[in-house]
Amino acid sequence: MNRDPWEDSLRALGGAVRPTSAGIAAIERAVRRRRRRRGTLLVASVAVIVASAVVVPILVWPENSEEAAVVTDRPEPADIVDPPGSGEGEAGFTCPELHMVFTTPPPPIENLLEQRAIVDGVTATDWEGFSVVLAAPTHVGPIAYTNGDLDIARRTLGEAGVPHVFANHWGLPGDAAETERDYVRQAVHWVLDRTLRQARRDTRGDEGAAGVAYWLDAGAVVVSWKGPVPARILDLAGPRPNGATVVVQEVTYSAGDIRRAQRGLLRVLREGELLVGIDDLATTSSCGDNSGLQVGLVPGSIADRAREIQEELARSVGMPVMVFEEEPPVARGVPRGAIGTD
Amino acid sequence: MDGFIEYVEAETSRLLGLALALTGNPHDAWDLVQETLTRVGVRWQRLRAGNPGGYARTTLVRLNIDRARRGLREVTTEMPPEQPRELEMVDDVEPWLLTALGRLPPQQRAAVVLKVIEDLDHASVAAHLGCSVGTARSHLSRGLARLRELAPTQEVD
Repeated sequence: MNRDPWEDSLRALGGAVRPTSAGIAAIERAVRRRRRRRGTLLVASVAVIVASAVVVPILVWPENSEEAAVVTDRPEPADIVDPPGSGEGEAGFTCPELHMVFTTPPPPIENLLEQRAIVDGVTATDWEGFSVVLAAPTHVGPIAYTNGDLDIARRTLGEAGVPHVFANHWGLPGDAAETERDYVRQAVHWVLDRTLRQARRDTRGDEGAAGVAYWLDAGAVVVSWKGPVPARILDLAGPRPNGATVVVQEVTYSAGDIRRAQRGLLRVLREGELLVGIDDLATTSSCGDNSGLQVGLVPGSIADRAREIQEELARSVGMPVMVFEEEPPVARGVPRGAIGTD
Repeated sequence: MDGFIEYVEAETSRLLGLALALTGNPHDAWDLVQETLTRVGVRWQRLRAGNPGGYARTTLVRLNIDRARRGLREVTTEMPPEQPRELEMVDDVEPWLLTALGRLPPQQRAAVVLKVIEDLDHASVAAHLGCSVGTARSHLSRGLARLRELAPTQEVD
């Protein structure tokens, strides 16, 4: 095979950069930080599950197993997700730190028993040209990872009722249940990719847009929209041919509102006439439900003044603000939130 | 995090090279690698016995494709520093190459980079990209052809 002369230059890129000790330490800190967040998330998820069981479901989802119910009900208001959990508490405004896709329990899988039968069948079969390493029921239909010829596997398993087939590139161990869960989620992620891109195209440039997110645990894409949600956006809600579902969530502020508030926040903090200044700022992002702005301030800057700081910042930026103490982010350059979600 | 730091020390340089080829600048490369290794670190207990390198590369490639699809992104109010303090360049990079790579669509760029830097076969490239072997072969073929078009004129400069 002929090699292009520039290939050596490209190959040399593999060793052209190396991390400093600060880089290694930054990764270590980031992992610890993410683990703490996941721990908080687990607690929050349990709380939401309990609250949902006792009070009222946050997400309205079809209650029976008939797939058509999701479609034919729209665009009734019941297809919209209510903004969860924001409000005025004793300490002032509070809001969820994380998007609903991380905290809302997913609905049950449609046709679970039917999917299980398919999955058990394809797993137990000796196929010609490929083997099934992992198969599982999901909200987007059965998925499978295979070794061998992927094209044959896709064609054959598709006929057997498995619409989503992927190559087992990662050396998936057969008995690691927890790892398997990650791989199943990754497969759902791939399936949702096209749905998410289409949703982005359908909503691009609109002033009410408040973000599009993967909801891996539900096999869904969530389109958040500043209320009142127009009928055109409501019409996006429902299932797609690939098994994904689009859910519309009504929120208080659009992405544009949040960006303007963030720029306003930076401006007033730089002016240095408030209780906190620009040097106290660690991070700023929208609340998980777009009901306001959450502002991380470096440890020691809040003390017992949380309510006063929140009210002052809210007056300055024109929307509710929740402050909390947070270590400054470890990376500079591209904002943290710009590289996907976990 | 038993063994994770050793893994990071061993792998970060290679991942940075891959990320630099995919993103074209050290800032994005560093952010991409940090996010990738953070995800590996969070799952380290489960991944360490398997193939964390494969997981990391797939994560990095797909994060970058997702990043590229978002267009550029949040408003930054300050110019970033010349180079992140978390990494250092130890070898010269040919600017035309990064410019040329930057003119490829993200999937073509990833296919070329995985093939050349990681020396992967078509099936492995397809697995990283989450597409069929035929599609991966097409991305690679088109990407290589485009780079060949760009290389001579850029090298003259």
